[in-house]
Amino acid sequence: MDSARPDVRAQIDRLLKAWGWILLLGAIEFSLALLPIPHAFRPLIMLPGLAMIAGVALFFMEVNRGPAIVRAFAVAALFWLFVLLALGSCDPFTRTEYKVPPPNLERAADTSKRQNQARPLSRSAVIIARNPPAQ
Amino acid sequence: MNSTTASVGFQYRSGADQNEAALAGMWLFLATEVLFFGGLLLCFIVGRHANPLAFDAAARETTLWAGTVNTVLLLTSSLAYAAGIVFVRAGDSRRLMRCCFGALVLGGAFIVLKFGVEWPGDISQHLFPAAASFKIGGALEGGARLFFVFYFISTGLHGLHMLIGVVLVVWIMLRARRGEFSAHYHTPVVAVGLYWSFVDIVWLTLYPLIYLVGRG
Amino acid sequence: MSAESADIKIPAAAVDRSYLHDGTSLKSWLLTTDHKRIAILYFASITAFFFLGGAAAALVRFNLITPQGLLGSPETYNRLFTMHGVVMVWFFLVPAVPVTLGNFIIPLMIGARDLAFPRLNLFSWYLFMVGGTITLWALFVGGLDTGWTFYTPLSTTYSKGHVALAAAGIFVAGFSSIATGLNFIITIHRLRAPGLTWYRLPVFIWSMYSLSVLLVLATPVLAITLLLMLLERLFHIGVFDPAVGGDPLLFQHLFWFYSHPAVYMMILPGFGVISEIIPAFARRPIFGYKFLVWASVAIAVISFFVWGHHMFVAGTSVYSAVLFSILSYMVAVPSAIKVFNWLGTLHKGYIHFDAPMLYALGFIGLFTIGGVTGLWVAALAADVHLTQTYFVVAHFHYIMVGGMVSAYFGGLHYWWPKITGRMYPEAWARIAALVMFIGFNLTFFPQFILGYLGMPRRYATYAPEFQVLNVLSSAGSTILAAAYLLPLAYLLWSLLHGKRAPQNPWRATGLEWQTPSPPPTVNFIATPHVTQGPYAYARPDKESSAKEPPHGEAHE
Repeated sequence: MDSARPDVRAQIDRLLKAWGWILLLGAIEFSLALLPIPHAFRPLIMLPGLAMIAGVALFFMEVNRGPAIVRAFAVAALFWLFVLLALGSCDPFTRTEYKVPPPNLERAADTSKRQNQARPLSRSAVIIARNPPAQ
Repeated sequence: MNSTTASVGFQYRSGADQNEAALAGMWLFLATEVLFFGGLLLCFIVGRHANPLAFDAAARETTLWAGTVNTVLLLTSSLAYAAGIVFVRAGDSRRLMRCCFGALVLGGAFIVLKFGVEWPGDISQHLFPAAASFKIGGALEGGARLFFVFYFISTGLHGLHMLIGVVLVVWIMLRARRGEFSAHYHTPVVAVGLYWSFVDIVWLTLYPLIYLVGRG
Repeated sequence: MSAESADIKIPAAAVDRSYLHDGTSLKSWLLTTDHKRIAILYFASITAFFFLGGAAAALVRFNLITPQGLLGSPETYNRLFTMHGVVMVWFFLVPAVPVTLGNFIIPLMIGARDLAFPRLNLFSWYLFMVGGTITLWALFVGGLDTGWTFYTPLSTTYSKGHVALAAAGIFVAGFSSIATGLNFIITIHRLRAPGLTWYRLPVFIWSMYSLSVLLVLATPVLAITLLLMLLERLFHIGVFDPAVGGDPLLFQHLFWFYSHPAVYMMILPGFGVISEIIPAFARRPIFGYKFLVWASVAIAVISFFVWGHHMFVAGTSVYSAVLFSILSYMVAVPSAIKVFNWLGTLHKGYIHFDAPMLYALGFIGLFTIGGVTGLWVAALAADVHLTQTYFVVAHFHYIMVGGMVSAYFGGLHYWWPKITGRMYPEAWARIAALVMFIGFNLTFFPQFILGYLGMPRRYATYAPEFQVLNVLSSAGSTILAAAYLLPLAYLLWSLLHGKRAPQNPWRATGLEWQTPSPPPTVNFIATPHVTQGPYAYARPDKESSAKEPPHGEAHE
């Protein structure tokens, strides 16, 4: 009834090796962060981190060992995460931004003067004006 | 009683069927967790886009060594637990318990370092976002506060997941002590392992976002 | 391997007696893990929430009889419509069909003895009740005035109501939804009867599966959103606070990432119910089965791409608005496919106008009106005029009340004999269905015109020229209220005095009709083996010669 006894030693070695590789990736990620990479490209520092995540999923969680449905769930989670992040940042990244004046300045500003200058309202002011607190 | 499981629900064809369903259920639960933390991630992306300089300035105030040590602690803890699963598959409950203990010690060290050392340090350095006085002043103050909003909420939620994980690992240890697991039946061990490693994955996302990306 | 099945022990009582008689103590109900009993627990809770939310709606309509508002204070009015929205959305519309009909019928339809995780199922009911109690507490100790949408900064800074308490309740109830969705998905994957392949599953199961995907993947985002809002309100740790560089619109993005799919959480189960009723009462196989099931799946996916259409005038970017508008048109395609499939099923059918069918026919018409007006508000230019008016109110009530509530009542009548073992009084049920249809249209059709003319929603007072249409609407709501009280009365009556229901009163083909009414605790004494598709209805004029083949048969 019991199939061939698994080679425990080999499996532990495999885990240790995976752990070593993941830590190595972590070290690469850490050193990348110390390089003077320009602001726009700095999120790329996360790439080794993504590989580390894949390592944990493959070796510690054994995502490719279980039934196919498990991988379907993992893919679904990643797909919907992508939808949330992509469509969710679509508006904030392309929105017309107005400078937000410091709060005290805004309060002190004379309303009639502001109308004459016709300077754009702060984003928060626009939003509050469009969603007035219920009376 | 040396059966496949302690008790099989009458809706299942076999114990093996039930075990597979339980593990699939755990995976699906973790998928919901991805979306839960995904909302936070979107907050970070949008916040960094709106306040690029402030987010970098704030990231430089984080305690890099604590975050890095914690990353190693957590990965090693996951390794220990994964080794425990290998042992219980071979029917070795004693080594499983030792591995669980190792995982607990490492996870506990993470929690102590995070909430006993790092958080108090941040707060004493006036980095708590809702405090009246804040370390970073001037034009960057607002955005830097927003960064620390993300920092405290995300590490707090991650820590909460760690605490739940600790309780689960203790539960596994107690059941292993009662001799409930064997080479044939160890589904709860594997399920808790999935959760324990998932908490790692969350941390592996947070670690670069908080400590590395902004440190130019 | 064969030794394993010896572990599975079925108590003798679970086979002999109906689930209703397998224990009568309060404990046997409150600690049950039987999906059928949990469904009954949910029925009781859902019904209470429905009438509570309905009472708030009645008071809202009462206030709007005169332009100055009969309730006197706008604060009271704000609290009432918020109570109506919160209770109806989270404690009736989203859970109603899945936790009651779904819970009861899914295992029966797929030939299973229970859901995959029975204890999780019971736990989800307790979570639901805890969440519901917290929210009700908030509503009764003073309520809140934010509307069900909790927009920031009103909810985080300005509102004087019990925002934190109400949101905490919804947060807890959200985990009940997640647990239910998870349970359904695993059940449908793992517990189908032998021979029940994916394309032999009834459309109801496909709908519940799609719905569960929505529950499982959207609800966590609501949870984190409400949590962030709560932290901002209670501890001033503000992600959405512009004073610290946060973005109040981000709240709306996250909120609608959940709440737009939530609309489909409400209507997808309705689609499923209708797809069962129509073939059974038109005596025809469903038309375009594969189109129907893949339309459900497509809706589950595309509904996540459209949420930005709630924010066209909120100050979002033009590019994202155009994108979301186009994507919103896309989601209309699978919905339209479904309507055409139902019509195709009815075409040349032998239609029986029993009460479930009346609700289903009403559903098709009302849902179509609601869906088509949805395209108007998805159009960028039209939406600038129509948004925040009664047109939007009428649009989503056609979907949710005209659509989902009709489907709920249709399904309730259709499966009532199976659930209770009693027939409902057919004449009364037909009258209720008709009165509901008339009352509904009288209530909500005038609101389309009101909105088109520019009456804004969520105000306690309005311009005098709108009074005639508002009085019509309020009059309609009294008819609607009466129509909802009717089933409450005659269904309760039928529990004691209704005719005993046979195993299969509708001569329908689903597996749930192959077991006694009400079913025994184990559902099926012998596991059914399925040999063909779900809608094998023969033409009635040929029934005498050819025996109607059932969907599956119980083999010993």
